[in-house]
Amino acid sequence: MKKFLWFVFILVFVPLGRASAGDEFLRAMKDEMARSKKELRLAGNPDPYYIVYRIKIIHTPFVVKANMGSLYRTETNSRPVVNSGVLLSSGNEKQDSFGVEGNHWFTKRDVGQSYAALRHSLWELTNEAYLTASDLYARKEAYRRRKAAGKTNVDFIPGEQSVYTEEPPQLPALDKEQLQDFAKALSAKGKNLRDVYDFYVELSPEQAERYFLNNLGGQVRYGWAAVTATWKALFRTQTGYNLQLERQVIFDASSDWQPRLEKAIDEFIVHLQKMQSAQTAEAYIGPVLLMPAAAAQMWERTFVKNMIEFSPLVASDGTETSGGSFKDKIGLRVVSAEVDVYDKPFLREYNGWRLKGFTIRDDEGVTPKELTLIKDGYLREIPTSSRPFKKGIQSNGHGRSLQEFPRETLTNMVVVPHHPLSQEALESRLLEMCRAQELAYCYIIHDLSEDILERDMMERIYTSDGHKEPVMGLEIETTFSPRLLRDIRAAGDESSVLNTKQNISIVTPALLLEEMELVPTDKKPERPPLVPKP
Amino acid sequence: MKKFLFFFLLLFPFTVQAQQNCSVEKQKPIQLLTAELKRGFKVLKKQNPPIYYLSYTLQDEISQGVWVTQGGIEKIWDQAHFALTVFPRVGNSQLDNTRTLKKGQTFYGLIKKDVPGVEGDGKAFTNAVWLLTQQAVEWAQEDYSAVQADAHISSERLDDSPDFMFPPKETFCREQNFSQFDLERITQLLLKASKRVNGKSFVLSSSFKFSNDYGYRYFVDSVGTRLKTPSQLVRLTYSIEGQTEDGTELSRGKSYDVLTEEELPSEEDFLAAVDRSILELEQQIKAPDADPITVPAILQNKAMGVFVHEVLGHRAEGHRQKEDSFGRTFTDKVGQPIVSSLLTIVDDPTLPYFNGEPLRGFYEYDSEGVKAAPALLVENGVLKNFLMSSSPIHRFAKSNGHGRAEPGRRPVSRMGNTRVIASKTVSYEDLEKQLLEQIKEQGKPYGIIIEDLSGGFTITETFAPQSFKLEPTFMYRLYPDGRKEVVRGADIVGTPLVSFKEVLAAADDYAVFNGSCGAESGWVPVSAIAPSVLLRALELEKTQKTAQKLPILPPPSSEVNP
Repeated sequence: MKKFLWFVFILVFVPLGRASAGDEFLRAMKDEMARSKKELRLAGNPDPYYIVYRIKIIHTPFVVKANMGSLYRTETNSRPVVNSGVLLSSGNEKQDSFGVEGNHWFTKRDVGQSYAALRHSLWELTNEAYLTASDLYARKEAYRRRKAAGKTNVDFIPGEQSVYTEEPPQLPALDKEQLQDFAKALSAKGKNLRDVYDFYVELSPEQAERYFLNNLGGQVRYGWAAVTATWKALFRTQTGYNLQLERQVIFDASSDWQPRLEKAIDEFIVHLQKMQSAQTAEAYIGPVLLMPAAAAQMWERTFVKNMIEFSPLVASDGTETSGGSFKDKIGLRVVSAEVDVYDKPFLREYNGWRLKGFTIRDDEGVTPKELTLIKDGYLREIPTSSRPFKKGIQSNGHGRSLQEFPRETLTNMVVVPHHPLSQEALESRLLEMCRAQELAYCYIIHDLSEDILERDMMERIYTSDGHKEPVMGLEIETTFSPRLLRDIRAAGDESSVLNTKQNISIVTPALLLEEMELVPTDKKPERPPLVPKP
Repeated sequence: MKKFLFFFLLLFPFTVQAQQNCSVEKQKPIQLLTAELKRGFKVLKKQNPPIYYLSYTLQDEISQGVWVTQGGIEKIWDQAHFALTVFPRVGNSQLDNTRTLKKGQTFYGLIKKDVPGVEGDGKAFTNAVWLLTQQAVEWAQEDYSAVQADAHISSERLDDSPDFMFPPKETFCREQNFSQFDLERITQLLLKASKRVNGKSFVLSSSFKFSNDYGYRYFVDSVGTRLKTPSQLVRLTYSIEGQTEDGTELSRGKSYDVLTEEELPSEEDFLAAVDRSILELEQQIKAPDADPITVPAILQNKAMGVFVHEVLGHRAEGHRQKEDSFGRTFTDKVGQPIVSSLLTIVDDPTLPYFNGEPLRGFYEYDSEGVKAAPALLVENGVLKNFLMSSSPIHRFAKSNGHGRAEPGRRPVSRMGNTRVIASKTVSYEDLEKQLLEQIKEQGKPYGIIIEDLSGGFTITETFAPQSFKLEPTFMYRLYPDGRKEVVRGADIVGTPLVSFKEVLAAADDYAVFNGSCGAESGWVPVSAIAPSVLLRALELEKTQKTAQKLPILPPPSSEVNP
């Protein structure tokens, strides 16, 4: 029996031991970089002066998918996938090829897993990137010649470089069968719900490693282990709309994520059932309570958008684009004094939720500094990169890039309230504000995403007795300008996390806002299914 | 004629090998699909507009493989697919939602989605079937409204045949032991092969791949057809690429289609083939650029297979005779000679092997549940028939089992195994001698021998020239003195009615080209079997070159010890 158990352990559990390939990858990166720096030349064009190699290795040992209590046949990727990327600038620090809009992408592709394959890929990508850089350099030079003001800044002031190596965390041993049973059980929660047509759960464990190398001496290696949970439901509301709701959460793999996922799915079902029973709504102007997810979306659309990418780019037609507007607002009061806002690059997780903004070195090899963005409502510090947008600016380690060259951006943005209130207290404050405006009810908003389906559902809270009622069919007419940030009147004591598409993590509690405008939509209901659900 | 019959009989023993060996009624996916189809169809046929036909195709497949690029494993996969395609027909068989719009774009996509397994009570599976049916019916009803409107506002159709002929009811069930392959051994072989490019600075990239796709297809429809059929496609392939200074992109490669591990090439043979391809690539890079010219030519057997597929095969597809947007090159030519009288052409999907080589175009039932059958397209040069799906055309009302589609697409008539049979053959050596005679007789500076084609395309619609273009990957000039010279950078072009007429001779070296064919109904595996032929004239034109400069530095693999 013992022997059998040992066998089961070997066959079913998935430990990941795969560190030795790293040295080979690093060697390939160094060798190709040295060759490129020394030999890559194109007559009549400036030499390459700044080269970055990045690789990302992702190992997804298996994916578990279930629907209505039954498993899908699962896909298995038994080996890691390696993705390589190259960024190259030609010219020199005074004048280089970066800064032209839309054409200087971080060239990347999947590669075979060996020294030879990675070198080959880096060779191809470096060649491609150098030809692009030569083209962009010429365009940028033409632009500068046209501009009367000419050049006032240097293009690049490299920050201090260092070598950072961290053994990536191992994905904890995962029992695939147990995860399958878990996914089945989670998806079965939707099986007998009224008018729920589809209830899908997907669990995807992942171990990842990142390597960074530049020709200035910056070298970084680190990784993470996470479990991504995705779940979605297709259902019909009593007012006749067919809706699909979807959620995705990335858990730190070492956290106690399973009970938290189950709780999140239970809350999702409650939310879904509220949507099913929601009534249609009328136009509204007044105070609103943004729950943490909605508050994070509000920060993204008003604050983050203006706190990144300060250096204007030269557009393809030769004009300049605008950079984030907060670069000119340091010292001004831009947010309500109710909250402070920090940028904390070294936070890996918040309450077990993985933070995609975690940055040990930025994408220019510089160690990031923690920033106090907002103190008592005033803008104190802003993120900077090695590309100064005005004289005297130096990098504070916030040059990050997803696909383009690194630009100023945030990492983990954390909102800290001065006077955190419980949910109950927040709702009381909301009702007080509504009564003061003689409103019969006001609104609690759960979602402000661009997706109209999601943000359709809101809750009315009545001033008479505080009872709540779900409603649907409202759109937000309020403009998402930074002005909205000054309307924050109170904040909650529990935060949640939003990982944005730009890999910025926003950690924020619920926020009480002075005013928002909501208007009904004109969406028409759908006919019921022709054949009843089996 | 005798010779044709001989070949036909030679094929026949293979066609009867597929025997039922299971009971289709006992298959759980069939049971669940049938129950849901019956439950739904009872209601759906009473709708306005009615659903008058409904089919479910369930793909239960495993896909395994390994992909090695530039000396490293890029991907190893082992994936299961359990996907359902729902195909409702709305309206009636005379006019339904599948009719091609005269004004506007016709969409050939169907609802296809992964579904939960049938294990346990099967309720999740049944629920998914119900949900996808609902979505598919909504799409189909919308399409039908568009078809009705189009019928009112558009000019009359040249062929007003019905949109659908109900296929006969069929039941069939076959299970098979799918061949398994030693992936570890094959991976090591591919890694070893990928190292052969080391030290060759002209090889800019290389890729080596093995794939094994196998599983069952379950088919259920409202006529009562119930099918379970197996399929397995196994391929070992590689490609080695380079480029000339002037931007001509070149590649050499080879594919091995097999069904068992024993049929794979030995390590020695495989590595020798790779070495040969590297050598040929180098020859091509050093070769002169071809000139636009019309000269006598030999299309070697595999190249001839592709030629027939593109130039004639697509134009013999039934639906291309029906829709007004097509050129209908052969529609009114049944009974007339359309190619050299030397040639007979038959499409026979029931053929699993030819000369010991597996054929990718083999299948037992088509995507509409119709039993596969040989279709004699051309007999001694005379057009006899078309490839037919369940969409009737003028004078051809019934399907001959060629309604094919990639899962998730609507079937149209497609090729399977297209076979060219020559009534008179010579040895290949004699064919080259005849080419030399033609060069001299026509006073041409040289002739062309096309050894290999990567593929090509043909335009069958009226909005553009109804021509074809084929891309040779390896060809020679043959000079009057018998000297051969590799050339590169030319495509074959032409129009269908002219190109086939002047086949002067054929060799006895029949060979198989296994490939995949893309058209409205997606990608389907196909084969072409043909002999080498001598053409009185073949037109070559310059191929497209890339603007991409050669890499500034040589590839790292060209270093002595990469």
